[in-house]
Amino acid sequence: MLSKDLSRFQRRSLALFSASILLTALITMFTHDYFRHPHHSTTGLLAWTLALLPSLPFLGTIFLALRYIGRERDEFIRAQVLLALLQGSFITLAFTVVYAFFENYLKIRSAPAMAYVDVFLIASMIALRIHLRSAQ
Amino acid sequence: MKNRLRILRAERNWSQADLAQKLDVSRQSVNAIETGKFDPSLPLAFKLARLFDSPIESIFSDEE
Repeated sequence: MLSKDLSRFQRRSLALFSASILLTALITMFTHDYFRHPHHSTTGLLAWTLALLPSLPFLGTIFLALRYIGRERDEFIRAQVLLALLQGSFITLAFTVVYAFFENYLKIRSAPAMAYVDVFLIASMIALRIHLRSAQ
Repeated sequence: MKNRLRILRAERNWSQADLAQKLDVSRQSVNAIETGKFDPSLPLAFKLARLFDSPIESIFSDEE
């Protein structure tokens, strides 16, 4: 799945990014389902812990991204990563606008706030993959 | 910006991967510079000039 052209540092960083994205998505889905379940407690310390839980892998991802950008010596790859993160932000904004329209006018279920984080991370990773593939 | 990187590399029988290794960058970077998709920074341009033992202006030209 990962390109053999990438350095050990790049491969390791990509693997860590992927793991933290997956973790963010899984924890978001778990906590979202937990709070929607009628028999689960949604008050007290447990509720606070569960509410904070999805932000932890996302904060980890931000840390990994900043560390990667700071340490990446290959300027072309660094530029592609920054471009992909920007594109991920734009796609997330577009998704937010479209989803808000559906929420307001079609009365569909509101998305959990962390879903936007998932959209950002997944969109950024796909954008990066496309950039690196086009430079093959 | 145009460059003679592909020609200079071919004269030495180096693959993109060989050049990337000498420059300590990825093969994608070499490919992006050769195809004009990416303009290198000054430090990388100087590194290329030293490696090919040529002045920067003989490798890169500012014509589109």
